[in-house]
Amino acid sequence: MARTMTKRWTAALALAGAVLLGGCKREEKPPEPAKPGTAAAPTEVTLQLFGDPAEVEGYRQLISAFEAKNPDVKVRLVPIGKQKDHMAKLTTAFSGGTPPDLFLINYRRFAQFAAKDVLEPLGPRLEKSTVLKERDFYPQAVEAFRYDGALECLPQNVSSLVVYWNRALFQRLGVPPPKPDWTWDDFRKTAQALTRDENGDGRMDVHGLAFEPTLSRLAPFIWQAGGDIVDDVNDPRHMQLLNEPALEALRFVLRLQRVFKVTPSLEEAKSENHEARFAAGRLGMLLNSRRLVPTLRAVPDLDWDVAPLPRHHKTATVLHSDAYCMSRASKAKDAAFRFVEFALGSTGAELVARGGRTVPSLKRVAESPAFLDPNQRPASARVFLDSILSIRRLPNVAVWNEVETRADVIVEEWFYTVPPHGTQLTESDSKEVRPGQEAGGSMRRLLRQGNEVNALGQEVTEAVQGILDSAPKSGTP
Amino acid sequence: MKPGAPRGREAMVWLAAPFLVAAALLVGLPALLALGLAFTEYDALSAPRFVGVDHFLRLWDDPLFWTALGNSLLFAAMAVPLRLAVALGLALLLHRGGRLARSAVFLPTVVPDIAYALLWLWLLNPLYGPLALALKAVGVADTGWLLTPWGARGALVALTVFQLGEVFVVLLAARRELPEELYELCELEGGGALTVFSKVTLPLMAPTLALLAARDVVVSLQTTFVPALVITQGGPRYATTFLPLYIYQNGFEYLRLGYASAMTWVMFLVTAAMVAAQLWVLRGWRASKEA
Repeated sequence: MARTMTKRWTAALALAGAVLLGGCKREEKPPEPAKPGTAAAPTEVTLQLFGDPAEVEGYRQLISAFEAKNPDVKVRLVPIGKQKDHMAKLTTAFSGGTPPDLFLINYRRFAQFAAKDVLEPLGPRLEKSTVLKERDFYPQAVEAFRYDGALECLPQNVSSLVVYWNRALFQRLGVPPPKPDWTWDDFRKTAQALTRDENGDGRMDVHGLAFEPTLSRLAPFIWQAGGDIVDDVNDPRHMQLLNEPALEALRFVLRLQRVFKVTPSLEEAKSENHEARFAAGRLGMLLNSRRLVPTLRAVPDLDWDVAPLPRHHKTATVLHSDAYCMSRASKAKDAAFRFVEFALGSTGAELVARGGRTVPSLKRVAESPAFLDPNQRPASARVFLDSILSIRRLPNVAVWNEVETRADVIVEEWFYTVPPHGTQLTESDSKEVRPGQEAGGSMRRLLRQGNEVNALGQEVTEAVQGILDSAPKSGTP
Repeated sequence: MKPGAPRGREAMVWLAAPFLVAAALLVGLPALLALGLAFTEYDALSAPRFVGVDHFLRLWDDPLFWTALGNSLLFAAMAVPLRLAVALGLALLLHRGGRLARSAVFLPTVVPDIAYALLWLWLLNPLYGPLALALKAVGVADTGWLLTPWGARGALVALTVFQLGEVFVVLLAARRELPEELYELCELEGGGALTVFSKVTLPLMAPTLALLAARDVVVSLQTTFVPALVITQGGPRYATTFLPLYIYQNGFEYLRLGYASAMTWVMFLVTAAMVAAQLWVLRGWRASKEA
């Protein structure tokens, strides 16, 4: 049965691919055979985005629905597998003078294009639109796509970082489910209770928790402790990772990894990605944004739900939002904007929301059954909406993409590099630093001078200060 | 040859002409344009702005550039001798026959780079990869070394060692060209295998080896791009960030095409210098032999 289903899906995907390829070759005929000389060929609009196959399938459905209502427009989808490749293809396409008419991009990355003035600001078009009004959107998402005061792109989603948890695994191991208002301590204890070496070979078979060690994943913990990532989110000039609240958060994260050992080791993380581990039922909790939902729904018999991030001194989570941006060089701006109106309007937003990919930026769709459908996983979809109240964002300036790229390499190394003589951290949180120990790897110098916690702040600051300094004075309000 | 047909040098020029024209158009011209761009601030979106030698000064102060350059040179220093030694060994082993074995040696060279890199990504998986499982079977439980800087560098070197088909074929041909009489003579004189190798094979094949070494240095400085991008993404902690990858990141991820062009030219000059040094050594060696 399952095999037949798989085959059917493969066939459907192949068919969708064939349709797409047909679109590439522009062989598809307009729906009604036109008499010679009367009807023009449909206007073609290209849309580039990145995502897993399950995510991309959702956008294919959106495009089909749009084309059915707008036979004079043909949308050509350019799906890319990875975010990095999406960015590289965008930059080369812009430099080659053939950018896509539309593309979806995260607020942390759009500004490098906005700064070069190659985007068609969509704010003025939104003002004139009869379909969409700015007040219908969540302001947190809209605000993230302003550059120098102008609304450049229109957000399709307002996702946040949440805890995906494997309900079946929790039940099997007798661990109580996450409580709505849980604390760092509850979170840590839950992760500990889930972490098991079931066959006694010395290697954990089930891990309590996993997340990508990146700056954007650390951010909410730092905010929860009352700290900050940068001095000014609108015009970042200095990193703030060495302030005491930030250090408290970093100590907490690092203790999860090397004292309580609830997260996969470097070896384990590199051998199997966290999503696969979660889908296979060997991971209790996984931190991610909404974009994981279509992929998890496609895993048969996986019983999972979402919970909010734990709180500490404060409640906080980080905004994950993508928006439709339009190239200034587009020759089909009106048709492209019609697609944006459709995609972000009730019909399109509901369609994509049902597919699971987005937390709709349009409030009325987010509050509708299309998003909150109790028959679809996650059952606690409202967690995403409740999180919006405590959502904060990272900077959206032009250099931020580079800052994160540079910092993430360091965050990963910091997270996994244990000093050779063992960690100085203990089960109880302590600021005390034992005398410096000789460490291996390229962090040796800093680990010798300082300690394993603030090595992160020192290294990141050293690596990105030059990039922050190179940013022009920003006028973003 | 028909009378009046071009001969000697002239004929060579004619034969090389199509290649020279294509090289001038597809390599020479872009290289000159890149040299021009190296003196500008260019993001591919707005017009280039002349900045003089700023990029070259910035290179001097860019620690990541030095790391990448060092990694590239280190890679060449490890990969080139190893590849040549392995290819020579295989050529000597297989020059009398073994069609199947020869095909097997050449096969990895035919695999497309991306597919080859993905294959190694699986082979090197630190827990579930065949290498890790084999090591575990012989009692080496700790395969974490694959994720250390030297482990990653070593893995990339190992991966390129298997793609030596071209070097192998050239050495195979060179070995088969050597006069058998010499070997028979050696045998009559009672020379051991080692003597034959050091007194006959190696000296006669040395010019070919030197030429291949020069070529392999050039290739090594370039071929790191795909495996570094696919397998290690330049990590851990820049240990496998080679110059081509760093140039790509600057040009296409951060839109600093002027800076990337400057780096490309530095890489070109470094490559030229290394080849020149090898040829200089070769010339000295030849002169000493003739003297």
